[in-house]
Amino acid sequence: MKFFRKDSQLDEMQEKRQLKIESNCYWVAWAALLVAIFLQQTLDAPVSQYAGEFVIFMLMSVYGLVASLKNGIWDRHFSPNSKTNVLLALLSGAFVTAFFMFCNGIKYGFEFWWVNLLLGGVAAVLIFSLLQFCMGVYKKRHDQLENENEDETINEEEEK
Amino acid sequence: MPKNLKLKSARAAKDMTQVDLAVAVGVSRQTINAIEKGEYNPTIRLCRSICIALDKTLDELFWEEPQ
Repeated sequence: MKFFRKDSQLDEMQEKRQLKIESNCYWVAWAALLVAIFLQQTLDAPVSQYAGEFVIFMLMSVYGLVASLKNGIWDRHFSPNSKTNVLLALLSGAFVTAFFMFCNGIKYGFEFWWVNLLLGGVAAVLIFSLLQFCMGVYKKRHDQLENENEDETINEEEEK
Repeated sequence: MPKNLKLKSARAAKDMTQVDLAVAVGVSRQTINAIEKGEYNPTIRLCRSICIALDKTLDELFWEEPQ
């Protein structure tokens, strides 16, 4: 009796539901790792303690980003424009400021609040630059896929 | 998505159960059930297989008048 088959045993609806389940697992793991990293940083744990989580988190993030860009996909909800990127970068910067304000506040007090604000500002600029860069790559790839020669696409399909 | 009563009646007219149709087109019974209940939108490939199994056209089973 065969216990493993290389081809899928699921029909199309089951396959779709399985993909949804796997997608949920991905996002739960991603969010859980992020929370675990932040918690350990807040508790002042040594980097070596959460390096593993960080590596896995970055692998998941980079894979998700690269695979989406390669397929000319941006996001389900956010539009690819500079205005949205500014807003997202500001929100991220505010989060980073609040996070460091909390972590550093516990350790050193709140008199150096401007350092945390500076860290948030730097994070916002970096995130904005990264978003702009990714948006540029996305637009280039999206245009490339949209303007692909029809005959080439058909030939590629036939070769498969 | 509305229920697909046309599919259900065509299957009944052929005296087939959901299991019979599922076996004929190579999917699970739950998929046929979900299509009939309007819970799953099948691919054109599966629609064609269902039409062939029930001797119907795509229009007869899956066409909906635009509202």
